[in-house]
Amino acid sequence: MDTSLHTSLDAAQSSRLNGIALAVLRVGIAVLWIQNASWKVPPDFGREAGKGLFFWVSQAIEYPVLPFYSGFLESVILPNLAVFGYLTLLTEAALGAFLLIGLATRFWALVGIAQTLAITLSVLNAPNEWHWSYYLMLLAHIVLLGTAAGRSYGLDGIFRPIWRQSSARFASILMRAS
Amino acid sequence: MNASNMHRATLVLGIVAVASCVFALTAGVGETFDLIHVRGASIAVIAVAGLLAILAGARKLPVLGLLAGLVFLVCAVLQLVQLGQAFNLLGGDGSTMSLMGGLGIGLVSVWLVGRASTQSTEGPR
Repeated sequence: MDTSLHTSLDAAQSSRLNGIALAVLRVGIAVLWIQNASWKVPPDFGREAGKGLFFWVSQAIEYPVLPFYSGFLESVILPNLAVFGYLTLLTEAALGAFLLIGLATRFWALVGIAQTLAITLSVLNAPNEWHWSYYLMLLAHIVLLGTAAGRSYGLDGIFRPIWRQSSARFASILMRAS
Repeated sequence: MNASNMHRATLVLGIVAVASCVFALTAGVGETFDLIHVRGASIAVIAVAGLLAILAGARKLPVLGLLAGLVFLVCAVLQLVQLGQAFNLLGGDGSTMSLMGGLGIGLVSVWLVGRASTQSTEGPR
């Protein structure tokens, strides 16, 4: 075999490995978001028992990361926890769902970054929290965004050639989102 | 090419659904490994709809894949409505809803995109 053929085979093997690694990362992050949806229980989201989402919002107020953000949680989020609880539950459940199947992955990676920042700014200073976990969470979503991870063994990879040929506006939005 | 990719995607989503039933076994090992709450009636729903999707992908029956997707979506909505209620028909929680929602959205979108692709290939008659 000549050198160029070796190089091509190496590139193909490397590309396949990269794709598998990205798919594992995407599905792994999805499962973590899915798990995160399990302990957000409506309708009171732990207010009566002093646990769940209510507990963590209370921790964010007691151990502020940024004073203005903590004030926002205290004056806006906590009094309306039922509404924001549903919003959080649905956002995190959707993050798990869409990252699992690899659909509109870049958009959901952006949502994941926003949600990670919201969580980090809430509980980074809470007792017994490991700050690395939040930094790793943020970095993992940046990788999903930057590599468009849904194109590797995800539905984005299968749908994009069809969306590309479509003249529909929705298809062009999905092209950007994937 | 597109059609075979769609059938394969349906098949893989079905396999993922059936494989997720493994989380029924993690109930006793604590929160660390019990990542998705698959319990009670939700085990049967996920397994049966997953097998439907596998059949749809293997036998190239897109409508069956759509049916499996709709079953997942209806059950995800049902689970959402019953979260925190005393009566929980599927026995799941938010994680069950998220899993079923993802599988449902995936299977229905495969059917929708596959259909749109077929129509654009056939063109106007």
